[in-house]
Amino acid sequence: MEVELLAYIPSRAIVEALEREGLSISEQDLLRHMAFVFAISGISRACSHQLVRHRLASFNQQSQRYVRMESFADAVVVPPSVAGDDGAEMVFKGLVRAAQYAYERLLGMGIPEEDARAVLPNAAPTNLVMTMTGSALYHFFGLRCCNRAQAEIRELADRMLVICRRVEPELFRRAGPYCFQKGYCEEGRFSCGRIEEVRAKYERLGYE
Amino acid sequence: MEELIATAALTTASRRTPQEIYESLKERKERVRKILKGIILKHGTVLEHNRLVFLAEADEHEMLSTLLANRFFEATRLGERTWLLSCSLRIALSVLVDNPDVPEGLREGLSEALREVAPTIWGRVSGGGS
Repeated sequence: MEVELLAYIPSRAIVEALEREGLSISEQDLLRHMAFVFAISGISRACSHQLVRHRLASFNQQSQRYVRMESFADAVVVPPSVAGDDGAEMVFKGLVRAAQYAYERLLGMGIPEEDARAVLPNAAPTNLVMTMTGSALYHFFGLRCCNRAQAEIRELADRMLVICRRVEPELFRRAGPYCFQKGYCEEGRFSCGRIEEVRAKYERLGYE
Repeated sequence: MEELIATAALTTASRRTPQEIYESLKERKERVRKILKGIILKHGTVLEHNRLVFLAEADEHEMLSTLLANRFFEATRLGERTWLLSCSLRIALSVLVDNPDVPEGLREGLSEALREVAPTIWGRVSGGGS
């Protein structure tokens, strides 16, 4: 997985322009006007499915209709739970190889990419450009930095948060999972029960 | 801004990562211009990877007209007639092309911003391209 911030609007540019007019704005309002453009590559299609459910965002994703998925078996994203288990990894990789074989056979039979892709696994890699406002990012971090989130999107969210804190350390100081933002866990009986540990992690993440 | 639009467009149909595409387009204005002349503007998501932020003077009626013209405008009241208004390039274009009745000041502000930050896109719209 690779994540890079391609562009963003620095808060200072807006704040200084307002100050020249004798105006001010709260941090919460400012976040609604700031956009952050990320390049994300090498995540699984399972992860990107979760990502695009965040509707207050813009996405342009690599198409499986127009891009032939050559040798995807070598680039699939293996979940940590599978990677740590020899038996599970054998089953997983067997299915991926079978999918690669079926995909290439279908293409060889003249089936177009847009239909042959039906046999591709959720672990197939993908790339995308994603833009969110600062306030949408706070919500994204609230849900996806949480221990209840799946490992891959949690790693993505953590990397994005580190980047945001690097460029806007004060604006994103309170960003993180909702237990960190609000001081209590909203997951009810599904709570990981490790709120102090989580809060300690997000006090530091990106600032060390 | 135009490099980002071209990066988003190429990402959909390329094996290369968006990071690689963006790097390769940074110093190639002519290549970017060519890509932007070729994209179908109706496929508007490539125009959303940016934000135009305006300091606006408007009464409540004018601001209501603006917000009703497109629900994706973001507005913050800063004073009696002073607002911070923002939107993506896609929204700005949509308002200019599809909403002839928006306040004239808004139309001028959006047009001026487009001319400056996305001259190729502006050239296509003002020249009657689609």
